[in-house]
Amino acid sequence: MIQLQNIRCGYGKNVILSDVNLTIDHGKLTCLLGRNGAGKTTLFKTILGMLQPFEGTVLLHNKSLHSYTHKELAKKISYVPQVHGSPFSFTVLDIVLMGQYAHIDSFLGIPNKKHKAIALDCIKTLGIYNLTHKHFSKLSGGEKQMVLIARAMAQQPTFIAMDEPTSNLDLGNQSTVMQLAHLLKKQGFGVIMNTHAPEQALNHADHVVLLQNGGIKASGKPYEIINSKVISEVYNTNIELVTAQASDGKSRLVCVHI
Amino acid sequence: MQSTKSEIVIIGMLLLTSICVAIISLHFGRFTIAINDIFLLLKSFFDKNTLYPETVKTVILNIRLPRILAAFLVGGTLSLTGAAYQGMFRNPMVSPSILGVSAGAGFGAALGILLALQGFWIQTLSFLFGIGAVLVVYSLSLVTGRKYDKNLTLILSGMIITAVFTALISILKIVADPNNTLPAIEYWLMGGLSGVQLGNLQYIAILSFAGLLFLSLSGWKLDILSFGDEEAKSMGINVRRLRFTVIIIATLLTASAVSISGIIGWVGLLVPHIARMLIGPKNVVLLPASFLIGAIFLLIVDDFSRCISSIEIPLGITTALIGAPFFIFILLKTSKKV
Repeated sequence: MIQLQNIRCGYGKNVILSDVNLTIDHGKLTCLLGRNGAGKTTLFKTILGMLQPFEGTVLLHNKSLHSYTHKELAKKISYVPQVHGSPFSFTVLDIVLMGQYAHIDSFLGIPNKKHKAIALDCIKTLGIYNLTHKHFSKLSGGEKQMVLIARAMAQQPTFIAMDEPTSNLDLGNQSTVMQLAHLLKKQGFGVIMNTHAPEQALNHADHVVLLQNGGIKASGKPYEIINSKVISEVYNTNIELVTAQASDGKSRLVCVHI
Repeated sequence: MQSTKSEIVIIGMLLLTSICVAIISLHFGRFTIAINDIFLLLKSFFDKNTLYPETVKTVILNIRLPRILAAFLVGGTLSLTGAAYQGMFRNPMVSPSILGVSAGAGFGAALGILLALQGFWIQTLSFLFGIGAVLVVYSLSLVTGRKYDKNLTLILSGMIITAVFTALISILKIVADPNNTLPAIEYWLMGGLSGVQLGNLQYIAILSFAGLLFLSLSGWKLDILSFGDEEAKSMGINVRRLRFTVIIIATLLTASAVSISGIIGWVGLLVPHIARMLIGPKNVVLLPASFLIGAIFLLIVDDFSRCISSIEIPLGITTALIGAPFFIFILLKTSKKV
């Protein structure tokens, strides 16, 4: 469990978010929603321990986030960045194996067969075994995103934090990544996702955090806190939530601009 | 990352090649020595009864061997630090002198020459100013770079301090005696191994091999760091400590190399690319491969410098003349595949 208590955070002297109180559970999919500049990335970095808050405490499993060593923290939370990669041409297996770094205790820090087996297992779970020996730089955007998710899995953490994982992907790959987010949740990971798409939050999340005006506007189950009025206010435009009946018999909410 | 058998074979082959090139290099120079005499001399170390010409022993042990060892160590060291910096800065266009070590070392040497110090003290002054320049760069980056990308502020600070030391070298050149001191400073700055003595090599030898071992063992961390600070940190790397350690080691190694050879450009930029083409990007094998290829490269370039004309051409000139077209060739071959 991650608990943010009275957090005030930002960059330099600029306060981006204040009075943030939030609890994020593992085994659930949590989405952070808000306009550009609302503080999604700031909150995201604070949760990951990349940004030290000005005030307040971030507790991870009831222990201050900043009391963890780098390796201890990497075993608890992993990070799926927006795709950019390394300037050097590593293979998919090389990259996923890097996720095991925090689990290697030997003095020389060299991975062995056990670590490699875990990396391969993550690659297989995500259905990208055919990419194992391919060079990362040669993959498509969607494939790269899946490799980075596999690497985050290989860290064997409690939480996986994804920074706008679908923002650069086509519709098909967006769907694949969201299915993976569900798969990770089913496997017991807590998934934290930063997104620009309210529909993803509505149709996939267990918990939504809406950010507005330097703080949390609402936090809770998506259908309880998100409605046309709230979403229109958050994005400062007229949006209507419409229920659509899909061919699988389930109804879903979609955003319609009016 | 684990080393595959083929990677170990490549490193073994490079080691063998570097030893062969070093032995063959004993043959090259103004004084002709037959290959056969070289083998007789080598044999005499194991069999005391072997006869060889005494002049061969003098030329080889006092002149050529120190120079060949120096070329091996300097070439290896510059390439090793170049490869480590390229990984750390996430930039394949970075060279070992990026943080001002060469400019600082050049100023130290020029100051030593101007003060008419002996060779050992010129080398020491060069070494100390090389390290000093990087310490200033590192401190400057800490002061200025709190809000910005750490790599960017380091590189910018390096450019600033390099410019300052380059200007200071120019001042020393202006005040230097144009008949004796100025040419000595110019020759030093152009790089060369002609004045190297065996006794001056022990420190760089120890530093080189210790640095090679440490950086190679940190190779996996450098691989992870090449994905950027935030990703590396999220995977458990102590980024600040790793970056500081790599800078300290690379600075000690480069300063010790530059202090005995003068400024030799291109090697540290070019060789890691050749090594990457041959063995891939994994630093645990790339770094030793870069060291060995750098050693082979500088041995061959130094052979050219000695033999191509009656006047010895400074190494800095030869490495640039050979390095530049070679680099174009590599860029054409690996375009989009760095």
